[in-house]
Amino acid sequence: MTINRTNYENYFLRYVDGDLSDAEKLMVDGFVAENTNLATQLESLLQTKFVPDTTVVFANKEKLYKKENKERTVLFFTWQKIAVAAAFIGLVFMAWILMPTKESVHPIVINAPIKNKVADLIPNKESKHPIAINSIEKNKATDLMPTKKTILSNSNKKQPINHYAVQFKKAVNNKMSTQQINTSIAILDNATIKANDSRLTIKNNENNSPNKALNSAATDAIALQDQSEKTATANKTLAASEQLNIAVSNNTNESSTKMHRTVYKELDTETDNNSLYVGSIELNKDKLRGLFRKAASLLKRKSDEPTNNTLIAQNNPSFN
Amino acid sequence: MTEFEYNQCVTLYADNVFRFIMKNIGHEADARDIVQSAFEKMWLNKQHVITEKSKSYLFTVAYHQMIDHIRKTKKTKIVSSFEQDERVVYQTNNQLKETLMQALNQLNETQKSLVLLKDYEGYNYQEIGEIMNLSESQVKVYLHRARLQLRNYLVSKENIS
Repeated sequence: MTINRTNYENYFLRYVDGDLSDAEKLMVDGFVAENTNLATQLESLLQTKFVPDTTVVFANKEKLYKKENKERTVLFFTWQKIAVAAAFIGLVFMAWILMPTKESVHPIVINAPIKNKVADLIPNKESKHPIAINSIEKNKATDLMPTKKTILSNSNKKQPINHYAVQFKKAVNNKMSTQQINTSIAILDNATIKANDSRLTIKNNENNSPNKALNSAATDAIALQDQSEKTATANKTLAASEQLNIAVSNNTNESSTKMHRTVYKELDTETDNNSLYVGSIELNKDKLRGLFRKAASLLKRKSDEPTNNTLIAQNNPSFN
Repeated sequence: MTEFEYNQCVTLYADNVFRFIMKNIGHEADARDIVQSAFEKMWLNKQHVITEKSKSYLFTVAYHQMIDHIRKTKKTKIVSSFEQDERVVYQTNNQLKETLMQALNQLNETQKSLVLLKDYEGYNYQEIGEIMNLSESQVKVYLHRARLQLRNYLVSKENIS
């Protein structure tokens, strides 16, 4: 489409707006050059074009500048969170306090010097050291012969019968004679009966000879059987002792390795008794015992209180 | 749009927007308020504003706020303020510019904005249409009418003088 006298105004307006291409601009320039009487119209339209007024500026532009405020997150601690944190700290503190120290737990003493053979064989409550292995092997059969004092002291301390069984097995390891084994059985019987009937135990302990001890133990056992018909507990104890006797006589020919295993089992049991595992934390049971007792006494006291009140209320009708 | 880009927009376009609004309403304080609120809006929506289109965004916001402002204020007040402004313009500019400003004041708000956006900022028809919510053909027609009106005013003034 070319410029002519009918459409020139549209071209002139677009020329002022800068909407024409370079070719169209040249075409308009040529048209104006040919039609000079229309040049004034183009000039007047060009005069309507505004030029930016650079004197008009936005003063104090600094007001428009912005800076991002990095908001800090505020953590609100609820009471539940604080309670959980306090409980956790308390648990850690308790675990630290109740943690078994080096003094309380002693490792197994190997190659320990034997100072008192009899004392080694007798379990001592005060000493928390396990029995030395080598000292057991060096024990003689005569060491197993208990004196009156020894048995009495052991029975008073309420040591388990297993201890005597261990002693007996140790003796087998050292190839004890049959007579000696029988003596040990008598000792076991003695200890068992002592636990149930102190009178009989004293009687047995008066016999120092092994043969006498065996005979008197048998006699006393029969006598005890007659008496223990009255009580079921005595019967059970005797039956257990008899079974032990049979088991011991059958096992005299067994290998010594089996006996060794029993000795180690005894040591492990003692260690386990002293420690209590809460999760992976090992605690000393002895230290906790006092705490448990206090808690039990408190609970008992509280449970007794309402009972007393009800008794008072029953006795005193004015309460109703 | 980042903080840096926003501040760059302030540096580059604050004067342009202010000039556009100032020439339209002729009141400096109101023009400043409109410009400030336009930049404030852009700052709040900076995450959605594309940097390349920040200038047209600013002009669009400022233009619509200016229209709202004009609708709110009374026409008489605007005229009186223009008279005050004209005195200043007369003192600083030459005769042609004074006559041209008088001619501009004879135009309606839409025509005025069309002429200023075209001449001051050099926007094409499509861009002006986007700012003023008009079609390209509408912009073209309204702008050409405004030009002819301005020319007629200038010619009539020349004839009188």
